Amino acid sequence: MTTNLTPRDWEALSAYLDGQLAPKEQQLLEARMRSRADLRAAMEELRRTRAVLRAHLEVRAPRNFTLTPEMAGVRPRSRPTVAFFPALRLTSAISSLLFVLVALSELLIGGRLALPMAAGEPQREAMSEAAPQEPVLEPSAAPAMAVEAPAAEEVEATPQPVAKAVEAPTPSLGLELAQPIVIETETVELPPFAGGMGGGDGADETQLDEEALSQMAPIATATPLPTLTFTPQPSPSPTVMEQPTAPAPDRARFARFPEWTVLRWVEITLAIVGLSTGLLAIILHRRGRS
Amino acid sequence: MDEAALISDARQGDLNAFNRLILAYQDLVYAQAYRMMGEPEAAEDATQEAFISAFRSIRSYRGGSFRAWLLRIVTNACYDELRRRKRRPTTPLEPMDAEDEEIESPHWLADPSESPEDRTERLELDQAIQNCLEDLPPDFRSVVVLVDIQGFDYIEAAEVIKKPVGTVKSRLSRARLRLRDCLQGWWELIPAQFRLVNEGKP
Repeated sequence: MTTNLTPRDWEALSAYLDGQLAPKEQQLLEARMRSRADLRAAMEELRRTRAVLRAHLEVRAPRNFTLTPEMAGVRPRSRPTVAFFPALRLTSAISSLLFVLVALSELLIGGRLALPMAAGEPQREAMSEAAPQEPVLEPSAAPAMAVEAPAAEEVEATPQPVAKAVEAPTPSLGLELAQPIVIETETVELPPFAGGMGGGDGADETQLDEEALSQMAPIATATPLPTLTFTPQPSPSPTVMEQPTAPAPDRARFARFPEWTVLRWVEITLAIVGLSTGLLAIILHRRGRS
Repeated sequence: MDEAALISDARQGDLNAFNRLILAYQDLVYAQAYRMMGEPEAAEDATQEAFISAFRSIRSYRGGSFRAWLLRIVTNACYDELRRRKRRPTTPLEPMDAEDEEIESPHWLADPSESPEDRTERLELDQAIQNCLEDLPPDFRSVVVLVDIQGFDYIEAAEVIKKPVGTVKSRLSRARLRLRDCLQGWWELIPAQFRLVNEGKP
């Protein structure tokens, strides 16, 4: 019955079945179907055929087809970074342990050093108090001091800056100091002296020395180097300068300063390494898990 | 996560994202392969090969229907296999049961809720339809599977086969005509609701 249909008829019927005909073509085909039984029969056969196919058993995948990295030809992403995790963890642990050890050792060493230092302060105070009472400078040794008449003459001659280096102790001074002391006096501008050069009697010189001393005293006291004080002595050349003494505690502190710095830097370095490697290990561990 | 985000991640090489897409589309892709190949094992091979090929070439995906893009890959894989078989004809092996008897339909097609009689009729109808599909040329077969079994519209089917919509329309009508002729002898297997079709508008 449907053998008289052309391929175009079948195509139009198939498209009409799926609603894919243009409105004009659809109206034309519907008009033809109303007048032709073979078109209606062909349409019914196509409808049944499509219904059978659409009611066909649904096929489901028998298994999962997900890909492994090997199948996809990709490398696991986190492997190289995860491999560093044990090394970072070990580094962090060792750094932390070393940090604790260094900190403890510094506390112990610092405590031992602090005791002699604390004990040394009263000793130095007592020493500075006892210094004026003791005959620190022998009267006979006074001329041997750097501050002596010729120096005074230089002061008298030109108001030049006075920069003297006095090394103490010397056996002639009778000072018993453990370390050689370098005393640096400040540069002092002295006013021009009214008296004549090299002239004058002893009273004038004494007056001059007292004036010079009175001018230099504030300078000496301004320097915070406290320990040894040279007091004026009744001597033929009574020029006495109050000299700053050797800063023995400062030297001890400066001597310990490099050690303190090294320990501090070691502590800081260990802390940074320990924290950074620990944080990095945590981040890598979390990435590896995700 | 939506499909666009998964596709974007997969384009960056994220295999987990692509595997989630596989889980969403593996039934569709496998059904296409099975209807094209007619054998479960060959359909599995084609499906797996299609997904591997899709992952490796996902950078070439330029938008549009992702399922159409996937089905084009698996359809092409089936074409290749069918051409290869045409050059080297082989006898397909049916699945064997415990008594070394051939299994006409694999166990995963079984529906435990149906009676043995219904299951037999259904399997016979399924096999009849599959045989008729296999008698079609691959180009016709792919279109009728896409439209009448997978439910694609003409435009999406045209996207899968990379042909104009007119070609889809033409191939579909000719495929339906051939299937009608093939299924003439199997009408007694068709359920009654499909036989009692009223005439009229679609």
